[in-house]
Amino acid sequence: MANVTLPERLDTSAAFALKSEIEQAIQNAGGGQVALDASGVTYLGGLCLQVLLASRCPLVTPSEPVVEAYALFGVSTYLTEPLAPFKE
Amino acid sequence: MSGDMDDILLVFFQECEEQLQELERGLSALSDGESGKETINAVFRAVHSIKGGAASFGLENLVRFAHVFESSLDGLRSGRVAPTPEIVKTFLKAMDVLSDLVAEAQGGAAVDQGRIAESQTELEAIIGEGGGSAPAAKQEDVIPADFVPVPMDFEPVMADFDFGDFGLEEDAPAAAALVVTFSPHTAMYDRGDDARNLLIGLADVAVAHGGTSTVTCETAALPALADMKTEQSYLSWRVVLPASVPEESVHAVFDWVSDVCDVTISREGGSDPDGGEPAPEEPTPALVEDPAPATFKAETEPAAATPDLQPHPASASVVEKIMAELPPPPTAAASAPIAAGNTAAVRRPVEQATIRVDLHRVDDLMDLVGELVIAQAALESIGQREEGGQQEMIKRIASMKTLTRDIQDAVMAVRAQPVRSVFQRMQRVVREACSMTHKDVVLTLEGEDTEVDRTLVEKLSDPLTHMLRNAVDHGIESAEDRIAAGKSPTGQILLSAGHRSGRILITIKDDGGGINHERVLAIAIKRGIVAPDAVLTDDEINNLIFAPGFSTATTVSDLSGRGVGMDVVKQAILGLGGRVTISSVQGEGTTFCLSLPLTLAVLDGMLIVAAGSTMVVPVSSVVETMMVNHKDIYMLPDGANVVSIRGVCMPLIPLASELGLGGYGTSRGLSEDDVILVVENESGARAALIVEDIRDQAQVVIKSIEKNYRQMPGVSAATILGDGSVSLILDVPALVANALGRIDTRPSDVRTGIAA
Repeated sequence: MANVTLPERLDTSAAFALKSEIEQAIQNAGGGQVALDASGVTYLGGLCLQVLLASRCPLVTPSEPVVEAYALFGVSTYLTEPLAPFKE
Repeated sequence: MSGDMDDILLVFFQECEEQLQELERGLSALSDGESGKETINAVFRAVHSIKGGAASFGLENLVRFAHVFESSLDGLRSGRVAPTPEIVKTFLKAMDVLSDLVAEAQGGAAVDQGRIAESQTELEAIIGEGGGSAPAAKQEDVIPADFVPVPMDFEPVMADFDFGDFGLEEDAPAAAALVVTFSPHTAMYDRGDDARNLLIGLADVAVAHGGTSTVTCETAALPALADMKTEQSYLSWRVVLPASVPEESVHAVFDWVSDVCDVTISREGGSDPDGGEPAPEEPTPALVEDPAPATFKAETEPAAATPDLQPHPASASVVEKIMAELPPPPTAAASAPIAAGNTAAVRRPVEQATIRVDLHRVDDLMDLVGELVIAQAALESIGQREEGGQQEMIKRIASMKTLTRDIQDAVMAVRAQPVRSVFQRMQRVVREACSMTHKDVVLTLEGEDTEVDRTLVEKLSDPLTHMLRNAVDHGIESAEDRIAAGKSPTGQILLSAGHRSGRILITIKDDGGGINHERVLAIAIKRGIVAPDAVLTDDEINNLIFAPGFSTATTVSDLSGRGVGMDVVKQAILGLGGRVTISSVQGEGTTFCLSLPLTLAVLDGMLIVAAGSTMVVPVSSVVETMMVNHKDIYMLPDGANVVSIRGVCMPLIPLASELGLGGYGTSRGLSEDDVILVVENESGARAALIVEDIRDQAQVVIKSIEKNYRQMPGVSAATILGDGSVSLILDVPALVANALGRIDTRPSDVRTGIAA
């Protein structure tokens, strides 16, 4: 299982880089599961949240700020269980 | 896109406002027996335009009602129905409902369904009366071709219309949780804001009101990672706040993002199975569970009797489909409240931020600005000249002064609006008050063309409403009493406006029973407003009705008599820099006089000196100025002074000591150089102000002292003088009232207006 270590600040300006990084990792994993290491994240904004949710990748060891942010955004369920795979 | 939509909607509401005025005018003309074709057409056009506009915005309730209204007016237009007083009355009532529906669509309070149904039934009766063409068949040819996007599922024959569910719904919201749904636009993130901040704001609001917010995130719009644009906003949220949270505080959270974020705020319907608190972890807010759309369907369900007349067989679902496509909401979450119609997508109440101005006024202003540019160039050329410019300069500055004043007048004219818009609304207030109290009262308007500053026009509405309701409820007697008193059973109220010495004067005059002094005094004593042994003059008793907590009503009626009325009116008028005076003749009626400043910005002032500092007295309140003649001053037993001017005595106010400026005033006594200003308040009471000197006369810009410092007795505002110093503007009526109040031996013929 491939791991992506998420950067410290996931604010609006970080969204694009975050997406490319996760996409890259998914590509490298070649169909394997990619997990996101959120242990070092101190700030999570709305746009990055979208990327995290859309990636459908599980979070591992989410930091306290991430847990709080997920609760704030009302998406705590997806902390442990990612969004259902996207259906076309 | 939704920004544009809001703009268009705003224009629509402005037009509605105008159309409603047109409608009011037309119907008033009809009720005066003027049933010319032009009048009827104007009325018809007005309703039709509102319907057309409402249809293109998907304002379902409004369209539905406007359509019935229009159909019934069609009978009038085609001559099948004669405009009898009863029918005109029905139309007036329908107009009131219509304007309420417009207000509702604008984000105002929801309209009582019972009222709509009642009015609708009455209108349908008129359609029926028109006979001939079956209403349903007529429906199609009434709808013009350009009238597309509406779901025309409306049903003219609705005898068994069931509003049962709505009653329930209306009772519930008071204690219901506040549901906020919002979906940020991409632009919000562009601007550097974040949905996170909004959620934090809402959570704070919830905590501040002793609860917590429950957040659910709508992720349905989120595409696969590969398809998503990182800068685009896909998510939307639904936040349930405790019932105690007022909507205003939620508006405050969205204040900064209202243009880049779709927000709907509604009260959870009481019938929600889990009491308005959706399961917090529910992944998608299941909108189907919302009771509102269901009720809506029930309402629009075509009556079984005439199903084949429907333009669209499955109208209810069509409605929803169209509604969903309509204005901004990109997500299903946001469209639901609109479709629900009744739970109301409460938009932020739109403050009218634009005005319509006659073009010639703008042209005048433009001309003056041109003149100003020329004057400035002239001044410049004088400045460059080597010698002898002094004289020329003074001349130019004088002409520039005139110019500035003209420009100021022109700008004021741009802001000025006739009071008609407010006055016409009052017809309705009286109409409603009449039907509640079962009295017959005719409201006559005078001077509707009087122009007042826009801000004033808007702020007049509430106090006038209150006073007119009071006039109908307490002023005008019941029909039996009126006949017994030898009056016509129909009461008369006159509402007039006019200019008087730089102020606007609004009078409300009724021909009712007048103020019952004994009763008012008895109640005031009972409520502890005055001491039991107080000896009061008639004027003072009249003014008691403005006292907080005063109510003559023995029982609290729907209309007035909650004891908050006149007190609030007085505060509102004072807040506008105005004053209220009452005169009342027992058995003949009561007259309320509101005197208001024309503008809140500039006044003509006389610069005077008191205790060594320069102050401003509004020129409009100065009657004359003169030097002190010691022979004319008399001392009263209580130590106060009066001055006799041409045989008329009036209280003498040493301004410096009156304002509590020590060092001068009392110890100094009167000096030979002192000047007397005879000042007058609105009701004509005079007093003599002693000042040390008169400096100048100038226009001064009013700066609120209340806002920047605090209220000061005897001072109404402050200004900045030409030399940069701050100077106080004196509140003459308050000073006069104060002086008159202290001297009890005033001659009885002095009409006092104790305003304070």
